[in-house]
Amino acid sequence: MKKSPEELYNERVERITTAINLKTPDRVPIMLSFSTSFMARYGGVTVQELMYKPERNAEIREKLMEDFPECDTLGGGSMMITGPVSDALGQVLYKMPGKELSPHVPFQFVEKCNMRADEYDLLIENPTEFLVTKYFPRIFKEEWEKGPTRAKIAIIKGILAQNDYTIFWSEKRKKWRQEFGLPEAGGGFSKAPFDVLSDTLRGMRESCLDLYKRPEKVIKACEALVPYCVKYGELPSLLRRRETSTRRELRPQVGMPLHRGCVPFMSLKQFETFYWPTLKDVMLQLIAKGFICRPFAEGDWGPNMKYWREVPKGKVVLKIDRADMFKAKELVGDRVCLQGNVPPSLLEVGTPRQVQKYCKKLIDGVGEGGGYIMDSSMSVNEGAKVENVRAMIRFTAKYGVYRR
Amino acid sequence: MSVYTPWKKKRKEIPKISGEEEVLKESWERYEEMAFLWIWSWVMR
Repeated sequence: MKKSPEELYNERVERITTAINLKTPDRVPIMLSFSTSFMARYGGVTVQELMYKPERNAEIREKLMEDFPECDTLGGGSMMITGPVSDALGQVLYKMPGKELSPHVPFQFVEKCNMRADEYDLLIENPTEFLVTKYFPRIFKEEWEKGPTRAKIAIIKGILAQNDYTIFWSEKRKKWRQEFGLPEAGGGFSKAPFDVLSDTLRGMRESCLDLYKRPEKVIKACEALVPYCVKYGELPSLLRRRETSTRRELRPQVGMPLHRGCVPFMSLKQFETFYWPTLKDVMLQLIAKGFICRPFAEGDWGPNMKYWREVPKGKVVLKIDRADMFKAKELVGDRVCLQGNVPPSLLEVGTPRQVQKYCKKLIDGVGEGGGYIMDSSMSVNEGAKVENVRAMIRFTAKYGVYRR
Repeated sequence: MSVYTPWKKKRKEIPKISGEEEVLKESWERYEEMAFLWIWSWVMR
């Protein structure tokens, strides 16, 4: 008999929660996120359309839900970085499809320094004031180039556009729960303090030089950013909980993409000095407040894997990009739930049989005893063949059933 | 820290409140928090 959306929802919540708790669920959960470019191709639209027209974005997302009901959550597709918000503010952090870039490619981050070295003290003393008075005029072209009236109107437009999106997606999430029984993996978002400093403030080049030129400032800045990273991570769930306190949900989760902490970017000694202490502090504070942290270890985190032993058991879902999943299972599988890592290259140039073989290896090795979630090693990429994505999902739903 | 202008400071700028102070405080703090989210979203990405 066909299950109701409510039954499916509860089943999925139970499955994911059990895996996060490092126990054995009924089957390996499947939590996928799709890139904008894959979604655009799947739905027969341009990436530009996807980033400017949320209703098209939602339609394609719903098609994916219909076509792949085995997925326990379904994310990605740039729900918050949007064309209208970007244009209203004239932001320069990204080049956008259909504007500076071809309409068929995803947005591109522009690597740039937006904070001067002599501004460290202001950032440390009052980070919010620094962002509003120094950072915004540098990243919002409408603010710095077009005069005070247009600048104020630009901010109003940017906030209104963002609000439109927030309301739109909030309504859709409710609908997807009611009609598809789909829980929401997100909830909150945060980052490692060093990544906040390096990604969009100092930039890659300057932040790397700072490790040698002004290490004490980097440490102080990261420490100053900790409470803001915690508050930013918890606030969406707190605001939402005030509105809907009776709903049964997944334990509130905070996604954390980790950008510049692994070995190709810094040595283990630098990682221990500049990156890990404040990242760990943010996670421990969020965990103490009842959150599950979902760091996405982008790049090869193999050499940094041992540090994950320092987080509390069953409170972290570690999505792995390129590290060896089997070694990770051995090293930290009794502390953190592992997620990933079917390679994008395999989804792009492999065959369904090869994908199934890879998934079997993951399920047999990493999935043994639970504490594992099937996923691509990043979001499902532009070139991924649909038949390979289908093979990953359907095979896991069938072969990933645990025998009790 | 998610509130840039705390209610305590704002309260001093209002000479007299004829109704319930708690209603004003709740509203003030809610939108301070939402402003915090919007401002910080530009580095949390």
